[in-house]
Amino acid sequence: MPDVSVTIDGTQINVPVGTNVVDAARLAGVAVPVFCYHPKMKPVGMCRMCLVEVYTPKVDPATRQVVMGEDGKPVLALMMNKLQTGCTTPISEGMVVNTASDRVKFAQKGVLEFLLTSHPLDCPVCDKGGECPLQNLTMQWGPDSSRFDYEDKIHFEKPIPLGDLILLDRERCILCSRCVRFEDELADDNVLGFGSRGRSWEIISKSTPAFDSKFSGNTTDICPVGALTSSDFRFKARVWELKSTPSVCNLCPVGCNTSLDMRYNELMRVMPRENDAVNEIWVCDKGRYGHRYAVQENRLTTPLIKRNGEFVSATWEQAYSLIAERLGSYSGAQVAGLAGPKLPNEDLFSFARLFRENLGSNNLDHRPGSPADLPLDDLPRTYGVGKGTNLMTLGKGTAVLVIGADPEEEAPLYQLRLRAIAQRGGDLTVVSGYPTKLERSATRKVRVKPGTEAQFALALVQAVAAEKLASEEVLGSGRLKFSDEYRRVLAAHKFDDLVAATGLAREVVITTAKAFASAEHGIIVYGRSAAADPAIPQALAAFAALTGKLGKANSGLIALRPGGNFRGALDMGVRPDAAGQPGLSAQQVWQQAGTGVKAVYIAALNPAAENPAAAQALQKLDFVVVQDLFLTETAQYADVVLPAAAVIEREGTFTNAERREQRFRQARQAPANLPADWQSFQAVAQLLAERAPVAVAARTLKKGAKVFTPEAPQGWTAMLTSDVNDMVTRSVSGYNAASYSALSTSRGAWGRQPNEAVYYDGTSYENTEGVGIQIAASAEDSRTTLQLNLSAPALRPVGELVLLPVARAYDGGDWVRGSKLSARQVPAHIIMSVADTARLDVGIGELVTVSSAAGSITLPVQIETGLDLGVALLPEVRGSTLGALLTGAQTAITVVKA
Amino acid sequence: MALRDIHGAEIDTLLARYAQRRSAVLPLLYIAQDTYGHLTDDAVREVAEIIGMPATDVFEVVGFYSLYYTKPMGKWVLQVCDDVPCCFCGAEELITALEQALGLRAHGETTRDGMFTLERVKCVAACNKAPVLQANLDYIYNLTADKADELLNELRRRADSGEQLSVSGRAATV
Amino acid sequence: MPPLTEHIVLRDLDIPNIRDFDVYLQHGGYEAFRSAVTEKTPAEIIGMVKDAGLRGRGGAGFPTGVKWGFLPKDVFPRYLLCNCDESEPGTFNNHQIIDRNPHQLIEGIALSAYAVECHTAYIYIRGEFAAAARTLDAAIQNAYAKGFLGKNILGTGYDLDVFVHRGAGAYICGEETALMESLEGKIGQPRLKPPFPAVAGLYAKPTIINNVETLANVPMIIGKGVQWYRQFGTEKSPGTKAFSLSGHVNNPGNYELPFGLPLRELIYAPEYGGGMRGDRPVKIVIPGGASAPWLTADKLDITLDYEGVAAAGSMLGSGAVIVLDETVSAVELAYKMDEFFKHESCGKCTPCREGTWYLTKVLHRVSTGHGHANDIPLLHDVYNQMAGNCFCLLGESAVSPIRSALKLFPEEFEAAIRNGTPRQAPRLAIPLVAVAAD
Repeated sequence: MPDVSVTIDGTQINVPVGTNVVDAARLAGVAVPVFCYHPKMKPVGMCRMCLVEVYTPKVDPATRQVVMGEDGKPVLALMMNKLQTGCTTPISEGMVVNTASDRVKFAQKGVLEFLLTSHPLDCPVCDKGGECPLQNLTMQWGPDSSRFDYEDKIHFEKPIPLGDLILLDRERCILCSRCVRFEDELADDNVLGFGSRGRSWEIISKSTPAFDSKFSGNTTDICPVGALTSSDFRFKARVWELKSTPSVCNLCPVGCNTSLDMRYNELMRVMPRENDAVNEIWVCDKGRYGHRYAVQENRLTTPLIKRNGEFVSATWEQAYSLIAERLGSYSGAQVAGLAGPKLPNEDLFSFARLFRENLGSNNLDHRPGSPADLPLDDLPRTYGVGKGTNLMTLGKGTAVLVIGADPEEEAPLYQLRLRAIAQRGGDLTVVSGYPTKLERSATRKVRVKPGTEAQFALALVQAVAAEKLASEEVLGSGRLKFSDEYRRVLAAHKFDDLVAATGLAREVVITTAKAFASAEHGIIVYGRSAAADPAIPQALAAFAALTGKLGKANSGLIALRPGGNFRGALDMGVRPDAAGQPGLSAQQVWQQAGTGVKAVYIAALNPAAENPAAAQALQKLDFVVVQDLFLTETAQYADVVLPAAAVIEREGTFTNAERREQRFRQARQAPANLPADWQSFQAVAQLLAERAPVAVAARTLKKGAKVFTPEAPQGWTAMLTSDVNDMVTRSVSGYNAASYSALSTSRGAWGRQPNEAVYYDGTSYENTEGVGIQIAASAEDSRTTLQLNLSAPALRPVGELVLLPVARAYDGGDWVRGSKLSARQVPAHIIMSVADTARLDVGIGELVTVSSAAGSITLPVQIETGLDLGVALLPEVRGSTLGALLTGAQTAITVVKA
Repeated sequence: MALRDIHGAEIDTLLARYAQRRSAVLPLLYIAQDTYGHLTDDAVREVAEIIGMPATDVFEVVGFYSLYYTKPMGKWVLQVCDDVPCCFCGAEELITALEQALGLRAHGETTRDGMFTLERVKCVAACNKAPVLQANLDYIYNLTADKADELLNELRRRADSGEQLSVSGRAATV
Repeated sequence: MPPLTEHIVLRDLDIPNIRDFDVYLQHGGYEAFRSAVTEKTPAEIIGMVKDAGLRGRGGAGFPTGVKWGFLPKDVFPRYLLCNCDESEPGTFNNHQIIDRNPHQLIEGIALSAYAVECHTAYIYIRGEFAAAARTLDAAIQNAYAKGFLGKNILGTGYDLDVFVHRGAGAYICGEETALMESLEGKIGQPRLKPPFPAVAGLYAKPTIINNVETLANVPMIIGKGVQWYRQFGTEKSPGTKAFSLSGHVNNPGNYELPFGLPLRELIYAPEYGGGMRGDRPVKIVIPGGASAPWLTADKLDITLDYEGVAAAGSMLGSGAVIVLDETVSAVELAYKMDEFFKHESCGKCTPCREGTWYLTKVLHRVSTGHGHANDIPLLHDVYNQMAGNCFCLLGESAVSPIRSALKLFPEEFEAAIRNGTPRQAPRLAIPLVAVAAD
C-alpha cells in the first residue's frame, strides 16, 4: 500500500494509506488517548476521547491545487473547523495533526470530566484497579479534581449478572460499546446490546442463556473500566499481587497463548497473551475458565496399587518397580501404550521411546480406541500451511475452504480468525452437511447433503481438470506423483455424479474451486466430520496440491482434530504406524485385550468413560497402569495408578494445528511435588534398562522409522524438561530449530508500543516469552516428492437415519472440574430434524432410543431447524457413549420414541 | 393466542414491505403492545422469533423508543407536553389539574382502576395549540386546566362504551 | 409584505378539504405526476427542481436538485425517504401538511422517486403522529387505487411503492442516518459519515432523504413550472417557507410566507401573529427551532431569510419561531430546553450524553435557588466542552440555549445564585381563560 506523509506533533512520518490518526500517532510514538476505539474493531467515534486538531492543506476550489503560503509551505486549514476524532479520521497527504494543543487538552479533560461525573471512583475495591485505562488516562489527561457534586451521582443496582460468567457494574460503565461490538463484529454472537437511551443507557443481554457466547471473557479484557468483571476472578486478588507465567492452552489445537496469573501458588486467573499468528489477543472461555481442574482438592497425590481389589497408597519406588517388573515380563507385542493428545511433546516423546526402545512395542496410540476415533491422518505434515503462516494478515486475496468442520466447537478461536479473514475481504467457503455458526460469516455457504463432504471434495479435484485450474508451476515441477488408486478413483467417480450426490448445483462446486484456485493464498480447514472418512483429507490434499496451494506460507491444509496437542502426538510418534512395523491401534488393543495384548499403560486418556467396549477390555487385561490427575473411570480398572503434575505445574511444549511449537512455563508447584508425566516414563524406562539389555529393544526399531529416530538407549538421563526437548530437537524431523531458547526468543506482535496495553487492548498480555516456531511442512522442501492418493468415499449406509457424530467445545470432559463453565455443559442428547421429530412425534427433551448394528442407547432429543431429514447428529459429550453406537464414519440407525 | 394467530395477515404484509425483515420490528412491537397491553418479556421474545432477530436486539429497540411500554399501562395513556413553549402556555397548570383529578404523579403512574396512565412528554409538534395532550396518541388541543375533568369524563365514557382502544395509537383519528 | 395570495404547501388554507382525494384531484392533483411519468424523463424533473432553486426545508437549506445529483450512477436499488420525524420544540408545519394536505406530499414523493429512479419510498413519520400516519396510509391507498402508485404506473412501466413507517418516540431519528438505522429496525443512533446516504444509506444502498415540506413543493414546481415558482421568494431562496409561530403570540400557527418578511411583522401583523398576548413586550425569540441562538426584542426588525437571521447571530433553521414574553425566566427557558435535549440524547457520544445531563443538573439547581457560587463558570465550561465535540448535531444544538441564556441574561443567573430565589414553575403569561373571554 502506498504511504502518505503526515506530521504529528512535529514528527513527520510515512504511514500506509487508510491508517487513522490514532494509529498513525502510535507509529509516531505519540499516544492519543482512546476508550471506544480498539484496533481490532471498526472505529465508531463514540467516546470522543481521541479528539485532536487535524489540519489539511487548503485546496483552491478553482484550480484544485494546494494553496501555498508566503513561506512556500502549504496553507493549512483546520478540518471542518473543529476538532476531529482521531479514530475515525483517515490520514491524508500533507496532514498535520496536533494532539497536545490547549484546545485539544481542554476537550480531553472535558470528556474525562464527563465520564467521571457518575463514576463511583471505587478503585480500591475494583478488580480493574491497577490495570485500568480510565485510571491511567485520567492520570495523564484528566482534570485534577472533580467539580461534580457527590449528591448528584446516579446510583444503580449492582452488580447485574449479564450471564453466569460476566457481571456488570453500571456505575463504572462508560458506555464505550467495546463489549457489544466485540460480540457482534468479532464473535458473531448477538447477545449484548444497549437498553434504554441517553444517560440511562445500559448494557443488556437477553439471549438464552444470557450472554451466550464462547468468547465472553474477552469483553472483560477490552473493557476500559471495571464495568465487566468475571465471576471467576471477581474480588479474588489485586492485580499487582499477581505474578504472570506464560502458558499455552492445551484444550484444543489452536494453542492459544495464555498468561497464568498466580498469587503465590494459587491460580487466580487465566488471561490471553498476545500472539498474532495464533490467538491475536483473545482466548475462548474454555481456555480462560477451563484450567481450574488443576487446582481441585480431589487430585491424586500418591501412587496407588490395587491389592485385593482395593487401592492402597504406595511409594513411587514401589509403583515404578511394579510397573517395570510387570511390563518387562511381556513381549513387545503384548504391551500397549496409550497417551492422550493433551500431553506435552516431551511426555509424548518419552512415552514413545519407552515403548519402542525399552519395551520393544509399536502398539502406541494417542486415541482412546473408541469407534468414534478418527482415522490417523498425517497429510498436513506434508500439505499443511507453510512456515510463516499468519491468518491475522490475511484478507483480500485469500481463499479459505472450511469443510466438514465446526470451528467454534472444535477449535473456538478459528471462529474469530476465519470470520475476520472474510471481513477483511477474504473469500470464505463453508461446506457442511449441517448448520454451523461459521457459515453465517461465509462468502459462500455450501450446505451439502449430510455425509457427502467426500463427494464434494472429490468433485473439487475433478473440477481442477475440467476447468483447467491446475497450477502450471506445480505441474511443471514434476513433484506430483499420482498413485494408481488415484487414477482409478477419479475414473470411477464422474463429476456430475459426485455433484448430484451432494445435492448442489454444479456451479457451486465450480465457483468454489475457481475461487480457491485463483486466490493468492488458499487454506483448507477440515475438522471432525471430514476426518472421519480418509477419502476427504486425501482429496483435499490433492486439490490443494494441484492448485498450487502448498509448500508456502498461508497456503495448505489445517486439520482440526481432538486434543490440544494431537499434532505433537503424531510428530512424537505416539501412533501405531510410525515405525516400519505397524503396531496395534487403540481400537485393536481393546479388541485383542486378554488374547494378544496383556498389559496397557494409559496416560492422560480416559477410554472407559465413553466406550463400554474399552471398559470390558480393561477387565480382560493382566496389568493396567493409568497415569492421570484424577481417579478416572479408566483408573478404576488399573493395577497401578500414577498421579502426575498438571500442565500448569511443569514446563513443556505443545504443537498446534498449524504446526507451531510453543513453550509454556511452570506456574505453580505441584502438590506433593508430583512428577511430570515424562519423569514417570523415564523412571520406568530406567528400571527396565537395568533389568534388560536395551539393545534388544533398539533392534526392533532399527529400520524404517519414518518419524522417529531413536536416541541412544542410554539417554534416560534427563534432569530437566529442557533435556528432553534437546533430544526432541535432535531426533524428531522438523523440530531441530525449536530449542527452548529459540522458542522463548521468537518475536512477532502487531506493532505494540510500550505501555499501550493499558488503553488499547485491555489487559491482554504482551508476549515477552516467545511466539513459538512453526515446523515446516515437508512440501516446503522443493525436493520432496508429493505422492497423491485418493480413496472412494465411504458409502452412505442404508437405514432409516444416518448418524453423524459432531464435536462440542463444552464436552463435559475432565477440564470442567472446578470450572465456572460447568453449568454450560449439556448432557448427552441427539439432534434431529423438524420433519423426523414430527414423524416420531417427539418434542424437545423427550427421550428416544437410538439403535444401530452395534448397540442402542436412550437419549433426549433436540431439534435443529436447519437440519436435513434423515440425519441425526450426536454431539460428542460426556455420557453420549458414542462408542456403543458407531459402526463407521456414518452409522445407520433407527430411532423410536422411548 | 399468539400474535401470528391473531394478526398473521397484517404481520406478513408488514414483513413484505422491507428488504430486511428486521425493519418491521417497530410496527410489530406496536401490534404486540396492543395485543398484550404492554411489552412483556415474552411478547418481545415473540416478536424476535417472528422476525428472526436476536432477542437482545429487540429489547434494545424497546428500551430506546419512548412509545414502548414494558409495564402495565392504563387503558388511556395521557401524555402531556411539558416542553417549550407548552410549559409557558399552561401545560404545568394542566398537569397539576390532571394529577389532582387522578390522584397520581405525572411520572408514568397509573390509576388504581387501570383507566389512566399520566406522563410528561417532550414536544409533540402541536405548539400552536398549546397546551396539548395526547390520549392514546389522539391529540387533544388547547386543553386548558379547566377542561381536564371534562376530558377525563369523556375518555372514561368511551372506555366504558367498549370502544376498541390502542395505547400504541393504532386507532388514533385526530 | 402582503400575505401570500396563493399557498404552495399549505394549500389547505386555500382549498378546504383538500385532504380528500376527490377534492385534491379536482384541483389538478396528480396532474404534475401524470405529465412527468408520461412526458418527461427523470433528468428533466431533476433539472426543473434545480432550476426552481428549491432548497431543503428541514433546516440546512441545501439545494434539493443538487442533492439528488449526488447519487452514484447505475447503482440500484435506490431508496427515497421522506423525513417526517418533526420533533423539535416549536416545529409543527409537517404535521399540518400531512394532516391536511397529504396527497400533495404523496405526489411530491412520487415525482421525486421518479426523478431519482427509485421504486421504493418510505415515509418515516414520528410515532406520535399516529392519526396522521393513518391519514397518509389511507391517502396512499387512494393513490394505489387510481394507479398513481404500484406496478406499471399509468401504463408507463414505472413501478413505485410508498410505505408509511411509524417511528416510536425518539427525536434523534430526525437525523438522517439515525432515521435509516431506525428504519432498519435498530436503535436510532446516527452513523459515522462518510459514507453519506446518497452513496450508502438505507440497507447500504444509495438513498435520498428529504423533508416533508421540501417534497410537498415538488408537485407545484413540476405542475406550474419553474417561472411560476420563482416569482415567490428571493433569488437565493425561491419559493416560500411555512413558518411555525408559537409561544406568547395571539395567533400561533403555520404561516406560509415568501422569504424576507420582517420578524416584527410575523409577530404583530393581524394576519399573522396578531401581537403579543396581553400586549406584554417580547423578551426572547427563538427564530429557527430549539438549536437556534436566541434573539432579544431589539432584533425584531431583521428579515426572515437565511441571510437576515444569520446576520443577527442566529439561524433560520426549520423556520420554527418561538416568541416568549417577559414572564419567562431565561434560566428556566434554558433549563427546559436542555431538559429536552437531555431527554432525547441517544447516549452514543460522551459529551452529549453526559453534557446534556450535567447541564440540566446544574440548571436545575440554579433555577430552584440552590445554585453554587461557581455555577456560571461551570456552565460555560460544560457547554464549551460539548461545543464542536459531539458526534452529531443534537449535542451541538443543546449548547445553543445555555450559551444564549448566559450571553443575553447573565444577570438572571447571577441573581438566581445570589438570592437563592426559589424557582417559579413555568406559568402562563396570561391565563388562557382570560384570553378566551376577550
